[in-house]
Amino acid sequence: MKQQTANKIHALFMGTALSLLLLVPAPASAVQISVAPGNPSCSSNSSPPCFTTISAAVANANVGDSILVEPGTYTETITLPGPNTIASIAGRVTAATILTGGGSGTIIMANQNSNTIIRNFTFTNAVRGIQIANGAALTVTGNVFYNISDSAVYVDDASSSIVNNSFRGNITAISSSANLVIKNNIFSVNTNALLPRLLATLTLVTYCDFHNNANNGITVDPSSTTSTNIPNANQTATDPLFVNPNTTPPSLDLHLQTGSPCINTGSDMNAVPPNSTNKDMGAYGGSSMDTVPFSVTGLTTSLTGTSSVTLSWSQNLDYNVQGYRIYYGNSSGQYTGTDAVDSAGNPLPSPIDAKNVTSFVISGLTTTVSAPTSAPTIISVEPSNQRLLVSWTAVPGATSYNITYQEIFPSTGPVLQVNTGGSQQSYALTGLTNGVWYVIQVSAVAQSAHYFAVTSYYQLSGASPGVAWESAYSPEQVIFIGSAQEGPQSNQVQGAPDEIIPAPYLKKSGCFIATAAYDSADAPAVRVLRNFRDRYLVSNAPGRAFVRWYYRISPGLAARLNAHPALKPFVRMALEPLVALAYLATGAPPALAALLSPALAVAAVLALRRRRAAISSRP
Amino acid sequence: MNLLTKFALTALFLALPVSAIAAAPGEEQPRWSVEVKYGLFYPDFNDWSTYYGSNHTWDVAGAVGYKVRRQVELGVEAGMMRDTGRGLAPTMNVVSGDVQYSLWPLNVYALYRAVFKEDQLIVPYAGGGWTRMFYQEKIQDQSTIKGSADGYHGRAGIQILLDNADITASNNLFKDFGIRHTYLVLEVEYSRVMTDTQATAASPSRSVNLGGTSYLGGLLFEF
Repeated sequence: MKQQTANKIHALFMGTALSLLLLVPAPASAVQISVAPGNPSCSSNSSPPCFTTISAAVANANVGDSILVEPGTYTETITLPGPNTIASIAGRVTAATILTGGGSGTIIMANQNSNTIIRNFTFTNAVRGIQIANGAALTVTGNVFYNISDSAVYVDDASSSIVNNSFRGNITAISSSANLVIKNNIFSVNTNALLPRLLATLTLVTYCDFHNNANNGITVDPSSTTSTNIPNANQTATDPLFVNPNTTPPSLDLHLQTGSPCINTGSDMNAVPPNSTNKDMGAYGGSSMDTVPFSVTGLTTSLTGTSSVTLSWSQNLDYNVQGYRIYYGNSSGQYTGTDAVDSAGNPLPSPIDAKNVTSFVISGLTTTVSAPTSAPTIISVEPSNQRLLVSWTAVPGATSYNITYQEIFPSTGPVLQVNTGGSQQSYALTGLTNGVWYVIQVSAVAQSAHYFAVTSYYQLSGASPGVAWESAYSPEQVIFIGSAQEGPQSNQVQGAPDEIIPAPYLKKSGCFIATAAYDSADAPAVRVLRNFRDRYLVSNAPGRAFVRWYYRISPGLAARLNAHPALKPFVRMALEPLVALAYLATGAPPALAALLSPALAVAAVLALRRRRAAISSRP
Repeated sequence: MNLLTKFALTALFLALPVSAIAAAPGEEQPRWSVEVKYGLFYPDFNDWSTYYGSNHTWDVAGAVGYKVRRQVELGVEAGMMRDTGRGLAPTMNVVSGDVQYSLWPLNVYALYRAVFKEDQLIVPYAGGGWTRMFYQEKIQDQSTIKGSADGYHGRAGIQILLDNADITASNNLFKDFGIRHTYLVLEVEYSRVMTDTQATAASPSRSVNLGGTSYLGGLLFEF
């Protein structure tokens, strides 16, 4: 009986304990939260969650979570939570994941936070990049700090590791009141590389390159045989040979070129491929370097045969780049081409490994295409000054459109044609005659189109464009090959370009009488008089008074002149001496002015004498 | 009775109960006023929405006035209205092209502000004066039309004293900038500036009013 009671009690206890265990929530497993503002499916409710700002991701992260930030420019102030620790906040691509303060403020602030890793970002355009205080201990690695107006990393009463970062063009790279682990960093062209504060002594600075800083902040002895910092007795050259340092993010490229003193001279920080056997200094060395090289620039295409295209691009000077890949296809962004062949006729499906060259010939591209079967429909013809803007519906498969137009009224002109050069659905016909009617038709044109992009890569194993070991696609190029096939013509539409009359159609201020006499406010003589007014009359009080008086009386006179056009030639004759004088005063070349001035003076004297002679000969 | 008349009568009605109250003797009164305001301008032009999409556009203005007496103010007001729209292509007789229409009114005004106590919460006011309207029509790929014309304007509104809403802030404004009073201003302004249009082959020249009615809100600072 006793045993049964004991069993019951044991069962009750175990049941209660099990129930309690089930009621206690299990610790949430760590997840990788993403920040992807450009991703339309990014949602905080998805699993794992996605946010559009880093601050939101930090606010929703649990202990042990990591945050991966997709490329973009983020203008935020990110405050890390107190003792609760996020494992890491990382950019996908260092140079393309830009954190900026918009010219002010601090980008990341950490108080009491410990063990969070901040890596693979470009910090720029802020007062401070990262502020670490009150016992916080971060690991800052794989970052670029550029143009920070106070301190790129500011440490106050805290300990941290600053490893494998590149600091360029900052007022102060690292300002600290504590002794920090500062290793494998490149300090280039900063006012202060290191700034120890409050009697702090920085004794843990090793394997760093000091290049052209106004103040290094510690003693860097170029003759030292034991120092691991550059310069030293073994390595006197300090220029890290960045690929493209004299620009701003995102073009700023602080990868290392061949011959850099920072290659393989850092501490071994468990470096990953492609430089797993190397120990490079800077943001692109060590275990936290991002594996995405810079995109290829300067891609051009040229037709070098009936079905051959030569591609050329600029070399990526990053010493780790092993080669280039060519992607091609028949529609934009779809690089699934299979028609190319090599010189031996072997197929070269996309992507093609071009190896380490900067020019490549692709042959055997398809040159034939069938003509579009449907016709576009012209939606509208909008007239403006000497211009007709034609819009039409799209035709599937069209690579461009032909616009045929012909003057039909008041006379019949030749049939003219222009090709849009692209697949847009509107085109402005320019250089037309105002008031003339044109008939317009549009037809679709199809031509074999080939789209190209090039990437650089560190290694082909596991390479994925813009994700790992391979750069994002270069800007795309398109080339059209073979004969163009034209489809049927659209509906006919008529249009007449015109000077646009604004509403209300207000009058121009100006020389009213001259405008009426010359029938245009833009007649050369009217422009000369207007220039004279602006230069010699409105610049002084008597001149302004004259202009006011003239503007008061001239509209009425101009109206009368318009009512009696027969008077206009006489008024023009009367105005011409004034126009000539105004021209001499304002716009005549000096030689002409020198020639005409005496002639006008002689003419005036002769006229005066003739008048006096006429008066004296009167009875 | 149009809206402007209603507004002016309402302002007058609001002023009546306080008209007998004189300012406290010896109390320092402001001499200058600065006004900034923003609102909507309804042009006095029938076909406006045909060419500019809606029957109104934005209006921003500022004024500086000197108080010859506490209630009487003389000043200068400058503003700007702008809209972008289309014009008329006469041969096809369709609305087309791109036009940017801008007005810059310059007003010289006299205002009566019915203020009789320095802590009066609501102050109606009304006034008017001479207007010089500068205009500009920018037409894509064509020459720009510029000019100006004279006219007049009238405006009326109420100003609501904000000093007591945040006494610390108002004290600071006085200490730092000498601003004695800050008011919220709600105002209606009507301008009439007649000018002639250019004649075209299809229509003769006619007179149009460049002005219209503006409904504005803003802040008035008295120094």
